[in-house]
Order: sequence, then C-alpha cells, then structure tokens
Amino acid sequence: MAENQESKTPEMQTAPAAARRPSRMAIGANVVVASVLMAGLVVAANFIAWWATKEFRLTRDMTRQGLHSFSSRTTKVLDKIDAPVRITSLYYAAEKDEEAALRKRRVEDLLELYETRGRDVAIEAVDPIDDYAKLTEMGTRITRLHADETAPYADVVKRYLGLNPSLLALMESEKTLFGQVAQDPQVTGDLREFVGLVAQKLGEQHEGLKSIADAMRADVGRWIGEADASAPTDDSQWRDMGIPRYSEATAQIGEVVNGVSMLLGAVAQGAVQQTQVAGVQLPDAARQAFDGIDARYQDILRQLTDLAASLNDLKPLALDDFRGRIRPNSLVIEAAGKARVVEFDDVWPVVRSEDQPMMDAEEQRSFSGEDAVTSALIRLTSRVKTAAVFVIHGSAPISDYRAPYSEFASRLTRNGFEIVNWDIASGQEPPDLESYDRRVFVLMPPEQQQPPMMGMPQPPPARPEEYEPLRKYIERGEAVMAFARVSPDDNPMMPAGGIPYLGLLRAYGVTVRTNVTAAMTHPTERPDGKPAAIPILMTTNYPSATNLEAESPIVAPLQGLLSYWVGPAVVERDSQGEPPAGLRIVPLVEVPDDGKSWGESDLMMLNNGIGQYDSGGSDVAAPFAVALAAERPFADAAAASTADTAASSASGRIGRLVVLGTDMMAMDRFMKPQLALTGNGLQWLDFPGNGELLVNAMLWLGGQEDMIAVSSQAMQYSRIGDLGGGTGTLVRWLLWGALPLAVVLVGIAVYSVRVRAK
Amino acid sequence: MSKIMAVMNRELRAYFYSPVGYIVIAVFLVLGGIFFGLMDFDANRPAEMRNVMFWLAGVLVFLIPVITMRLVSEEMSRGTIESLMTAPVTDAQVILGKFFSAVAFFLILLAPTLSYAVVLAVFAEPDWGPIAAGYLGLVLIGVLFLSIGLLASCCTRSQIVSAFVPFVFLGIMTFLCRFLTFHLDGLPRDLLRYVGFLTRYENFGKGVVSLNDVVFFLSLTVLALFLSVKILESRKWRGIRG
Amino acid sequence: MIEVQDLTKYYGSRLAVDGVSFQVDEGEIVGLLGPNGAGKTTLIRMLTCFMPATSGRATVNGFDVFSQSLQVRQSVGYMPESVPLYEDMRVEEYLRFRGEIKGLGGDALRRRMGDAIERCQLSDRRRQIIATLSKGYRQRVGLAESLLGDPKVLILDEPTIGLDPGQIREARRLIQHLGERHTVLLSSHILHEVEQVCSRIVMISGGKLVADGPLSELRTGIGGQGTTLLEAAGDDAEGLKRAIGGLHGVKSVSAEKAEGDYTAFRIESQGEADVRQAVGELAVRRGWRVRELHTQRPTLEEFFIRKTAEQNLRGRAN
Repeated sequence: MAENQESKTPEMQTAPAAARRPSRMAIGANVVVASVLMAGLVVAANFIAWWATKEFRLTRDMTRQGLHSFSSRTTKVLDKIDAPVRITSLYYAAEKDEEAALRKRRVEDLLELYETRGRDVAIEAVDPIDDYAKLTEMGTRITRLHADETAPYADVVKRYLGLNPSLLALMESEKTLFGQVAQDPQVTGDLREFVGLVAQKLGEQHEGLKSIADAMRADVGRWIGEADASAPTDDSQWRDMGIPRYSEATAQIGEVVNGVSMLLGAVAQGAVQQTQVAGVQLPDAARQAFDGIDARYQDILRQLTDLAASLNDLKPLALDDFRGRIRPNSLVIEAAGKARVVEFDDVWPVVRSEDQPMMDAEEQRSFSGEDAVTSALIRLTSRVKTAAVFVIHGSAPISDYRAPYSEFASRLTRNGFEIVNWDIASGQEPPDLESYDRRVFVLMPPEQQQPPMMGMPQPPPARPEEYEPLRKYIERGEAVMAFARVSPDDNPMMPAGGIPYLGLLRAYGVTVRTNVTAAMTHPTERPDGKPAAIPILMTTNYPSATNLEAESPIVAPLQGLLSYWVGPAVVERDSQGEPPAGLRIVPLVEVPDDGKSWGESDLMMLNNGIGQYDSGGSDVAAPFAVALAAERPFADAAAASTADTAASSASGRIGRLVVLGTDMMAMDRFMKPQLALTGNGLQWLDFPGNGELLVNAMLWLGGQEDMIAVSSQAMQYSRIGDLGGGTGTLVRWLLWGALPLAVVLVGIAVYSVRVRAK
Repeated sequence: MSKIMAVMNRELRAYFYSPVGYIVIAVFLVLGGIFFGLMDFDANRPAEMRNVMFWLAGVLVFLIPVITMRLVSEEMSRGTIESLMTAPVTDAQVILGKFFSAVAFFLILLAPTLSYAVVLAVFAEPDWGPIAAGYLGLVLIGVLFLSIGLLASCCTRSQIVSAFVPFVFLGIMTFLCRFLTFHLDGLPRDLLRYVGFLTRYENFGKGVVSLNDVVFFLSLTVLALFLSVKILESRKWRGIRG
Repeated sequence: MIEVQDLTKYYGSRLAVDGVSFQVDEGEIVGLLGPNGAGKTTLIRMLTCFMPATSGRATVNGFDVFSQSLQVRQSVGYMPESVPLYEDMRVEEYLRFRGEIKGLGGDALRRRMGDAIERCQLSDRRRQIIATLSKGYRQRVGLAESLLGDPKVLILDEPTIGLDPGQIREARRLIQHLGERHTVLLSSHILHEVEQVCSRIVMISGGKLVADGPLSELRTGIGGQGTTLLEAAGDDAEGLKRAIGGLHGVKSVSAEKAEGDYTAFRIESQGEADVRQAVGELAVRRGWRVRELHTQRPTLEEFFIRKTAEQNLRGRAN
C-alpha cells in the first residue's frame, strides 16, 4: 500500500492532509475496483493462454517417447513420412450418447496430435450422417486414388455407353419394324403373336436400356466424361459418397449384354423358325422383316460379345471393398496415393475386463487408436515391400487363425510386413518372392510328431534335405529368423524329432542344443528329498537376462517388459569349425548365473521334476543364451538384390540371423493376454515382451532398425526391473521410514542445539 | 528486495525453529513413501512417479494450510504484527517475504522426494521428462495452494481458522471438482475440468506441459497474493471515517 | 518533531481519541500520560502508522503519518506496549532481522547492533532465545530494537510496565540516557515515572487532552502551589497571622487551634517561593516556640487525580 500512497505525497504536503484525505468508502471502492480489475486480468491472461496454447500448440510433451502424444513408433513413422497425409474422422455421436461422444472426442484428440506432430498431416472431422458435401469430396478423392484400378471398368462403361445409342436405335427401329409387321392384315396366327411379342420385348428392352444408361451416367458418368446433368442425384444414400459403383455398373452391363444378346438371338432364331414353318406362305411384310435379320444384328452382337469378354477380364475392385468399409465411426486415411479405412473395431478393440474376467454382458472396449492409425500409416507409406516368408512344413498357413502363431503374423502385418507362406514340404518355391524388396525367412519348427496311433496316418517327418532350397537365400545374405525347440533325438515319444533346418544356421556359426533345456531348481521340497527342478520359467525382465554390453537394438527398448520363456533350448556358438569371417554374435536373452539355473540335458529327469547340474555330463552351466542375433557379411553381393541399400555394402551383403530357443513364446497364448488358471485362481496372463521382442527382431532382420520402437499398446513406460527378494522391501522401508525419521532426528538435533545455547 | 529477503529468511527459519516444520515434512515423506512404495515402486511397474505425485498433490490440500496458517495469523495473535508493520517495510514486501519463505519451505519439503526418482534410476531407466513435468506441476500447484493459504492467514488471527478455511476451499477445488467432472456432462463438466486444480495438475503428471496450465496456476497465485496484500493493507484505511 | 492536530479515532462507534493536538520538539523527552484506557496506545499506534486516524492529522519528523507512512516508519523507533517479539529467535537473530527490515546491512548493521546491544546492556544475552528471557530483558531487547535504526524519534509505549522496581529504575535511567540523542515520546499510566524522566507531559484522559506543558509549568498551573505548615505556641496568634500574611510571597494564611497551646498556621504561598525561612524567623522573633515548620509541595499525582476526576465528572455530567 505504501507505494500507492507515497505517490500522492506532493499534493498531500501542499494542503492540509486532513482535508484531502480520501474517505474510507473511496479507498475501499478503489481497492475493490483494483481487485476486480486484477481478477479480470487473471481471466484475460487465462483466456489468452488458452487461445495461444490452442493456436500455437504451446504444449510440450515431456515424456521421452512422447507417450501422451505418441509412442516412439508413431513418431518414427511420422518422421519418415514425407508425403501429405489426410485423416478424416467419421465419428458420430447421437445426442445423449455420452459414450459415443467420449469416443469421438478421444479419437479427434488423437488425430489432433497427429496433425501437430506430423509434418504434413491434415485432419478433418466429417459428420457421416449429414455432411454429404464433405463426404462426396472425400469419396471423390478416394476414387481418384483408385484411378488405375478403375480404369478398365471405366473403359467398359464408356464403351457400353458409346454402344448404347446404336443399341437403342436398333431396338427402336426393330420395334417399329416388327410393330408394322404385326399391323399387317396378312400376318395372322402364330406369326402375328410372335411378331407382336418381339415388338413388345424390343420396346421393353429399349426402355430398360435407356433407364440403365441414365442411371449409369448419373453414377459413374462424371468419372468417364459422360456426366448427365439431368440425371437426378441420389444423395439419400450417404454410403456412396460420390464413389462410383463401377462394379454395379459393369454387372448391369453384363446383364444387358446377356439380355440383349439373348433377345436378339431369340428374335433371329424365331424368325428362322417362323420362316421354316410358314414356308412360302410367309407374308411379304414378315419376309421383309426377317430377311437380313442376321446382317442387321451382326454388328451389335459382335460388339456385345467384345464387351462381355472385357467384363470377364475385370478384377475385383478394392474401391468397392473400401466403400463398403467406410461407415460412421471409422477413420479414412489417405496418403501416398493410397487410402485405408481404420475401422471402429481397430480403434476400439473389445477387451477383457480385469474385474470381471468371466463372461460378461457388457462389452468393454479399449482405445488403441494410435496403434491402429499408425499401423495404417506404415502400410500406406512404406515404400519398401518386405515379405515375412514363413517356412512351414505341411501345416496350416501361418495367418490362419487356428494356427498357433496367428498373432505373430498379424503383428507383422500391422508393422508393414507382407506375409508369405512357404510350405517347404510341397517342394515348390512360393511365387513372386523376388517381387519384394526384402525378405525375412521365418523358420517355424515342423509340427510335432504325435506318438503313433492306431489308424491315424502319420504325416511324413520333415527331413533336412527338404530345407535345402533355403540355402541359396541364406548364402546370398537374406535374413533368417529361426525358432528352435527342445526335441531330443532319442525321445521315444517324439520319433524323428529335432529341428531339420538347424544345419543351415552353421552359415552363421550358430547352433542350438535341442537336447538341453534351461532348468532351475524349484524351491519346493520333494517328498523323496531329492532336489526339485523344473524347466526354467523365465517371466523375465530383459535387463537381468540380457547381455547389456551388446546394446542390441532389438532388446534395448524392451527394458523391464515382461516376457515369457518356458524351457527354451540352449542357443550357442558353433564350436565346430572356423567361425565365418566378420561374424558378430549378440546374445539377446540370457539365462543368468544366479546359482539356481543351468542347462539340463536329462530331459526325462526334468520331466519327473528332479535334476540338478551335473558338471561332468552334458549339462550346460549358466550363463548361456536362449536367444541370440548374428550378423556376417556374405561375399556374393552380385547375386543379392541390391534394392536394399540399408544392409548392403561394398564388401557384400550383411546377412542377419536371429535364433530363438523356443517357439512357444511366439504362440498366440503367450502373445496375447490370456485368461489362465494359475495357482492363484483365474488370472490374466500378459507377456507384452514376447510380441515386442519378435517384432523388433523382425524389423532388425528386415533392415528397419530405425522402426524399432515400442508400440503404444504393448508398453507405454520404461519399467522397473526385477527387484529381487528383499531389495524392494528394503527400499520401501528406507523411503517411508528412514527418510521421515531422519527429518525428525534433524529437527530434534536443531531443537536441542538451540535450547542448550545460551 | 533485501527487505523481502529479510522477511523470507526469518520466516523460513521460523519453520525450522519450531517442531511443526519437521512434523510436516516427516508426515509428507511418510505419505509420499507409502504412495510411492505401494503405487509406483514395484517390479514391472512403469518407472514413473505419476501416482505418487498425484496423491502428494492431494496431500498438499491439507498440508499446505498447516504450512501457511501461521504466516500472518500468528503475527496477529502474538501482536508481533505491530512491530512488523510499523517497521519501514511495505505490506507487499511482507506478503512476498512470507510467501517466498513458504515456497522455500515447500521446496525443501519436496526435495527429499527426489530420492524416489533416484530409486527409480537405480532400478530402471525412468523417463525424466514426465518426472520433471510432474515436479513442475507439483511446484505450481503447491505455490498456488500456498498463496491461497497465505490469503486466508491474512484474514484472521486464529490459526485454526486460517488452516481450516483454505483446507475446505482447496478440497472443493481439487477433489470435488475432479469428482464432479465424472458425474456431469456438457458445459459444466468442461468448466469444472478447466478450473479444477487437480484436473489441471494431472496434465503435468502425465508429462504434458502446456502454457495454458502454467498460466492458470501462476495467474491464480498472483491474484491470491494481490488480494493478500490488499487485505493486509486494509488495516490502514478501514478505520477512516466516511 | 511530532505534531498532532485534532487527531480523532473511533473504534466503530466508540471514540478512543478525541481531537487531540500537541507537539513534541526536537530533543524533548515527552511523557504521554493517562490512565489505562485513556487512548495512549491508540494515539501511539496512529503516530507509528499502525492504524489510521479517523480524522485529524499527525506528522512525525515532518512526514505525514497517513500519506508518508514509510518515511515516518523509517524515522521512528517504536517499542510497542508489552514488547511483542519473535520468541523462537535468539536476541542477536532478532535484532539482525529487525535491522535488515529497517534497511540496514553489512557493517552498518553490525555496528548498530553492537551499539544497541551495548546501550541496552544485552551483551551477555546475545545468543539467548527470546522465549527464555525475563521480562526486563525482553524490554531491553525491544528497546535495543527500536534504537537500531538510529531513529530521530523514539516512541515507547509503556516501557516499564510489568517490570519490578529494580528494573524500572534501570529502564528509567536508560531512557533518560536516550534523551540525549533522540526525541522521545513515552507513554505511561504511572505519573511517578514520567515525572522523573520527562521534561514535558502530555496528559490525556478519556481520549481527550487534559494537560500539556513542561513539568514546572504544570506544577505552577496547579493553583496554590505550596502550602507551608507552621505549628508553634505563643501569644497573639492573630498578630502573627497578620505578620505572616504580610510576608513576601504569601498568598493567604489561616490559623487553627492545635492540641495543647499550639496553633497551626496554614500558609499558602505563590509560585516557587519558599517562605519557610521568613516564617520561621518571624515566629522566633515574636517569641513563639516553633514545633514544626514544613512545606508541602503539590505532586503531579494530585494534579493527575484531579484532572482525571474532572474528566470523569464532566463525562458523567454529559
């Protein structure tokens, strides 16, 4: 206060202060006004800040990976995109539908982030029910994107419409002709009936052809330069969005072609019959009409036949599929000359409910919009076509939903891989392998042989020779991911087991000990006093199990992400022979030397729940790897496809290999959250580390290290690693006990020092 | 400025000359430790401090009034206000000095919680961005609470009242606003989300810092300080006739 | 140094200070005297800018207390009634803090602190926590504090209240000492104290100024300043009475019969005149046997009581 009042000093001194002193009311009013002004200022400041934040996007996401804006995967994708991207939201919320409104807002918030973060991303929210103009605009753009695909259709329609006038003319003239014949008094009986019928049919056909052409012009006309302004536009059907129904048009053309051909054929045939029946008594009028009927029809019929041939050549239109999938509550993404629809179920997948894991009436959906949109962006903008070639042996295709690895396949699809199945048992190579820019061969263990059963036919066991066709790919440096599994050769339950393709891995100086499984002592005491042992159950955190020095890009981002390894085989360097020059091997997952783990070679013992490390035998001492990555140059660069610049160099192509000691971790039941009966009752088991490890490894193999990241769905945060035993408890006690206690002690110390001092 | 520093220095010392300061810090740390230990610090949990920070902001609702209640009320009840206000310091200097001392005490109170971040760094690779943003948010919300507590302390000589009033007010602005946002819709909901202290604060906890939120907390702090000065000042003109 | 004009203060509808005007000149030690509740503290609080006057005007050291509050506070050392101190601080810490908010720092602060501590004899209590100090020492801390800024004007509100007699004596000495360097306005409800320390007295009662003037003036102002009593035995009491009445400086004489054959004369003198010697000589010359001869000086106490009584009477009349 002093300041304000000090400023009045000069005048106060010149006159009696008492006289000049402002009244209480005056000062009070002053203060009230000042306070109100101040409050107004605060409101104004907030409004400006709100506006500026919105306008200039003055929001900073401080998370390392941009979590609350984006996962690292999305940011990487967005950074790579250099083409304009357009995302249209068709989310719709009816009045009072709060749930839908929330979803709409959530989705649109997300899109706003894309707009902010992306270099050239435009977003638009379009009301899918009412905004027909916008929908049509979008439909038009999308149709343009499909111009190549629709060109043959357009051509057919155009040709048909070109033919139409002459078709109509023919119908018209024939109808008139036959009408006149029917009027002739000499034409009687059957003949008259026939001629009358023909005239009628031709007339009908004429009308039909006219309306069909009109409709066609109205629909696809503007796409083929045949717009008919007079045709009524049908905007009640929002689904069309101005996307022409080419396939419907061509279907109709097919019908017309058939109908007209049949009609004309029938007329011609009828005329011949009538001529034969009537013979010389055929009235002149009829004779004149019937004569030269073939000549009159010939030209049209030929053209119709040509049209029919073109129709048969048409391939199904993706545009049709596209139109069918654009529905309210979907997203349409246009980029790089392509478009994709992200459907509602992709953005809002139905999820388990933690609280009610059992069957539940209410369906719960989680938001995975970022994953869905980013996956779509990857697939739209990825210029490198990478094939994930699953090498299987007589089993179902990998993406078959019944197959045990379908989730793996679908994860790869979402990351821009194209899935190719190579059933190596067929003895044939898959077509078009060379059409991909890159290939990663994924070697899946052949299906386990069942014990021989009466009457059950045994599929032939996989033999190593069958995998020989792979060798040439491997030797020219194509990337390989190989799954192994424990399958001892001498196990009577699994005759002719073993993994037939492991020999191929020697090219990388890597081998798998399929008869040794990672095992650990189990804390429970066996009744017979022998030490209990079980195959190792590594619900592991990568930091404790990986060779951190390796700094592998595959596992580095996965820190602390839970993964599941059960009884993996030991993967190791091949001790036989010289390792290939330039070989670099990085363990990805290691069984640590924790004093209770080892590689057990006596699987029978382990199956019985006993076993212990036998240093003399073929047991393997920890630490050892259960998954590793290897890299080596291959000299034969010329043979390799050089389209892939990332992995090729002057000295030759760098080949990459990832070997995993178990295929179980790639199975759906460990890739997806599963409800499982555990010792603690029904529980959701979720091992996001599995999927992330595999996808990262595939990206690395495909030379797309820069795309390695953690997807937003699997992992949003760096996680706390294994706390091991009492460490966590100790730390907790330190934090909530020792720290406050220290403060109190400091307080007591200060107090006593102060009091004692004189 | 030096007078502000002098007032701040004395007030800050006062916190540590009385057991209240240590008790407040100890309570804060016990609760913080429990929140952190139970909600954030566990194997396979994300290495973050979002939960502990969220709940500590809640703790501040009742802890900050304890920090601020004595600031002016005690001077009034002990009569020291008389020697303070007859010294050549302006009311603004007194308010700012007291405010900064409370801020400094609050920062000291907060400092040991950095040990949580250290623990996270030992056991994981925490993302420092959201932790830093969270601290920024915690400081901003704390500073706002402090200014509101100070305002209340200027209004009454009773420390009980000057602790209870801001406690109720802050409780409404934080918990009730947040609670209501779940049960309302439309404009009221948006409005509550906009003015609710905790809903604003949550953005920081997530690691998102926006100018909007920073200005919100700072401007309200300035307003509360302004009103505090005006109320302290009013002593000097309320007695005038007319 | 201090000018008070028509200063009035209402607490709500209660009139606490009623149109008081007075003036304190440089170097004076002025006592503001009045019974409890007379408005002394209110008046002082207005002078030290702690609260505003309802109306009227006051300047301290030439600065208006309302509009130039900061300059006023800068030039006044003020010790409030009952000396409120931050109990949790050490003496030294407290003084340093107060010095700092008075704008002192560095060497100047150290020097002033040393000076104030020395003058108030606090050297042996520097590091003691104020809460543990005795009342007397707290008073000294308050005084030391008010001296820190080396103010032109010292305003002390009831500086001796609650002290034991020894402490009071000491405080009195200290204040007298202060008068050498500062203009001092101190308030008290104990006349005795003011009488011994102050050169001038401003007396208020019931919010009104009842007297203002130097001690001597006030004394003179109390009519019949001296009463001399003579008890003697002899003849012709009337004659003696007349003779005394004729002495210089004697205003009036009355005689009364005392016990035995003594007569008691009551001699009222004017002003400062001392009539004892003349009266004694006269009596002896006339052959009277003098038993007692003394002068009663009227005390401020009497004046004070009278004035307050007047005030009360007036108040009742109103």
